[in-house]
Amino acid sequence: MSQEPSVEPDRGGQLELRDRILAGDREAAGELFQTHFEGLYEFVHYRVAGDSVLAEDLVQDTFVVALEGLSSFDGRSSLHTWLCGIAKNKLRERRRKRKALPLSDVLDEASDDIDAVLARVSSEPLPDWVLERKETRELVGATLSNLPPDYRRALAGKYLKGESVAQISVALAKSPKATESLLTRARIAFAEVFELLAKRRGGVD
Amino acid sequence: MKRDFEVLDRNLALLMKLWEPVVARGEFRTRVEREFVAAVARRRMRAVPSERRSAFASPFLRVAAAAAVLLCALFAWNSFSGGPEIVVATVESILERGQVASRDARDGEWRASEGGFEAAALEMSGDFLELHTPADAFARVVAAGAEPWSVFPASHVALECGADGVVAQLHDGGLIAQAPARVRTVEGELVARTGGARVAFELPDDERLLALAPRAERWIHVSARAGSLELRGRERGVLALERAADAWLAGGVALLAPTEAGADEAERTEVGNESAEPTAQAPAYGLFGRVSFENAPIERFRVVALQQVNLPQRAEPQPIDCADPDGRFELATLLPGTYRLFVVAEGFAVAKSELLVVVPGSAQRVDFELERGSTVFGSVLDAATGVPVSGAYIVSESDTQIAVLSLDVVDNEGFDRSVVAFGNGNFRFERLASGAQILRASAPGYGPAWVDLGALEPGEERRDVVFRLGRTGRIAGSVLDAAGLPVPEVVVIASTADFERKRPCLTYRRVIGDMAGRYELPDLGVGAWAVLNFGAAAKLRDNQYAPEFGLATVRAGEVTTVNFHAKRPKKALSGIVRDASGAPLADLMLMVAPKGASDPSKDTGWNQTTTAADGSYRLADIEPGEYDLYISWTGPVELVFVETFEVITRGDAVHDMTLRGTTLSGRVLDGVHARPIESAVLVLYSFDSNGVRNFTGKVLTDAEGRYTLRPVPDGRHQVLAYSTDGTYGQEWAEITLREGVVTGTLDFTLQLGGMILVRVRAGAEPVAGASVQFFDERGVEVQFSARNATDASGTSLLVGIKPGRWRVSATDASGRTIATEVDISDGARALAELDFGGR
Repeated sequence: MSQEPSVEPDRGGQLELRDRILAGDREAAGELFQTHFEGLYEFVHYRVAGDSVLAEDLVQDTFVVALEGLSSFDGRSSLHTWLCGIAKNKLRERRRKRKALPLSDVLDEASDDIDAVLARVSSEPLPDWVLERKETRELVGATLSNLPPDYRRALAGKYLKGESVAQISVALAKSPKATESLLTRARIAFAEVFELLAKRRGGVD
Repeated sequence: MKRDFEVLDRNLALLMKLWEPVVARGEFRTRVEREFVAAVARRRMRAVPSERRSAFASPFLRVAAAAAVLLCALFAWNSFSGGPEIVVATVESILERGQVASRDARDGEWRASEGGFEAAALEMSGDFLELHTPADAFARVVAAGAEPWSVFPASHVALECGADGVVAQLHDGGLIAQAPARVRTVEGELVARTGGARVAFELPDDERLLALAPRAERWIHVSARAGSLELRGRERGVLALERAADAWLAGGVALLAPTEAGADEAERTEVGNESAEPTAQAPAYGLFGRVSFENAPIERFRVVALQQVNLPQRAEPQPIDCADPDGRFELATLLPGTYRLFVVAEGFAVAKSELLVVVPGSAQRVDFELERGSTVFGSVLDAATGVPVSGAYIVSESDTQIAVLSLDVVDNEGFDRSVVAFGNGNFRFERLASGAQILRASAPGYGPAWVDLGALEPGEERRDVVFRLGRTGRIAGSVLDAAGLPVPEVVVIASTADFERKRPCLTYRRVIGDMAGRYELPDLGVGAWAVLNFGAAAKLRDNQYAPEFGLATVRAGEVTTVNFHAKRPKKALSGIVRDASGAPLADLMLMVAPKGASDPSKDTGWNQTTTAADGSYRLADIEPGEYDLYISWTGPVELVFVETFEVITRGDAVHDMTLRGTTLSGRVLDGVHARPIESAVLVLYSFDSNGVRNFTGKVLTDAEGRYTLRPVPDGRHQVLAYSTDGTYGQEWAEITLREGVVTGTLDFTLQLGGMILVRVRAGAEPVAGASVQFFDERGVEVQFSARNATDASGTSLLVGIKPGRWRVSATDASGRTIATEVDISDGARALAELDFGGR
């Protein structure tokens, strides 16, 4: 009998986690926090112009609201997306009270030339002069803050740590086949978000 | 814009290096996490709308809270025994999660460690150890030491202390243990928060603080061997606090004891403004009184004393049959504690006392005036059909002389007040005590139901009381010990989750498991039940238990599984990995998986590590058992099965290994342009002596289409090559490697593949979940995934199918199999229609 690792969608685990938290399981609460805190913080960070005080307020508010509304999480999106959705609403509330903080404000030094190049990340090699720019670095961070945690982990594993698919699969608790697939989706997602942000920022069509 | 993945790959490799993750302040993260987790534990969550709601959902918090309240009666007399100084004590804690904090002395700094304690060994050089467990965690703490300890529970499931130290099973709370002789005299004013009220304790110089249980909003049962307590202000809920007495105190509690020199001088305790009976001179002890009816003595009656202990302990009713012309009785053998007395006499309703606190050195008089009682008429019906239920067992919880009331009459040992419904479902219940009355009815095949009659007037006749009994489910499971062996004949109890004690009795059903450790509790009403395993490990001492808890939601007609499987002790596995020449192999990734667990996710027991420069490795937290060992070389090589080995139960396991076998390499090329295919997958299968094919390894090709698999063991193998994007059809080859062959070469040329859309139906209906198999022209099954099955629409799309003739078969849930053949050409899509036919 073949023992090839199987490929299983993992959405069900999120509902189970939700149920455990609703049952008052502190470990489950810790698991949710550990899994999503960093991604959420980063997501918020890039939307509040790096204002750490505001970011902390929003992240804390997000967890409070998430706990209150956890029973409404139905698993149709990922928990990361759901939490980011709450954070977005909180951001909108803040913006009604404060000065607007669109993403373009975050990266206000960007130039159109750079963004035109960055917007072709999946079709043309990036020249060194673009890679050396601070704007590029910020766009990488902003892009990754939009990706689900497992995408970020997979990309970091492959491109930063030089990990094999097997190593990433163990870290992500997925089968190697599922990890391959996830890596492919992560790459495409990175490219799409990166290009989208670059175009929006630089006004590239 | 067309996406070029090679370009994207290269750009990603460059861009990711620019990434500077945003890091939140550690202090902020810790604070938010603590608040979030605490909020989860605190909140009573709303019901989850999904059917997937955990069986351990909302009732668990009730159990946690209730356990804290209910189970403190275990806190026994010897808790406060004195003894010489403890210099060093070792504490082994098995905390699934939680916090351990310790400090050397009261003035010292707390040293805290959090989470993940499986078998932590703490060396305690001071006099304080404090353990906290979260709401739903159990902790078993064994404090080894030659001297007795003072132990103060914030809340416990069970607790025992003595010369061997402390054995405590905690639930939702904390434990403070201190070596008594090290307790310091506390001078000045100590402030504690009790039940939300601020209470100040002024401590005289000659007294010492014995305990402070700092949990607010909790009742806690403590006993003081000696002491004097002065409360500035009245503490609501304090029933009594006497020298050498038990006390029920609300919330946090502080007990004072004189220093050793003054211990014998303490005589009494004052509680607020409440005056206490002098006890030192009282010659009698216990409870005594007189039983009468209209002031005439009752000559023959039974007095039942029921101590107020809480689950999982079950106080045995202590009956005394009395025959006295003056109707007198005396209970002089009761242990100190809180009791309720019941008087049962022929022709009269059961009479009950208020709660009575029995304290050493004092006696209380309790007289009973009996009454004829009230009568209730009613019927028991099937809730679904309205059909009368004959033979139902109807019991008055209010007049029952036990606190836990079985659904099986035999377990109630005659201490219940009950009647059985007639054949037409009607019943007549006479001589019920006046006042609050709650009746319970149950019958085989039905869950229990309750009726709250409110307050009955003396002599009242109440009619048309109807019980509607609902359907039942059952709870079943098994009990395994730490070695994974079944625990035979274990007593398992399912108890209703009425831990807030809205009803006088807790309803339960008891069963004894079989020799294989299996148990089954039938005929339980729909809803939440607590399941308690009273196995040998649960017994602390006579009549005191620390059972394992489980919770289950019983559903009509269903079996809910609750297993009690003890955690198996974890082992460390270490060794050295060498190549065939004996040289150590560094930077190898080793992965071990429980035999048969093919999915490398955390909960399937996969574990990994990397070999050091000297080839050594160490894997902690391995459960005993058989493991498959895989290795992965650096680069795109992964998951090569090496061997199966066993981690034994005793001692840490050492497992050295020598990697022998053939290094198999080759290239994978595109059959059209002879270009290398990057990231093609090579899967290695090995055939065992029975010809069964087993997954052995897997590797990806590099940019040049090259791969290397090592070490491939001797024997017959199959190598399957396919491209991940489905562009090319898969190829496979069989090879046989002989001992001593060091290298082998195997190249593959992949042709453009096609697609097969498999559509399975039964007449007009799509068949979802049908297992689909593919056989190539040689009749060999080719697997494209671990399990290929049709989706809800009855279809399954496979890409990357090698051109040629294929046989496709589908097997439905009932085991029916149907097959067809399709021809695949380059890049084409073929349809495989499989029809099981209409019904």
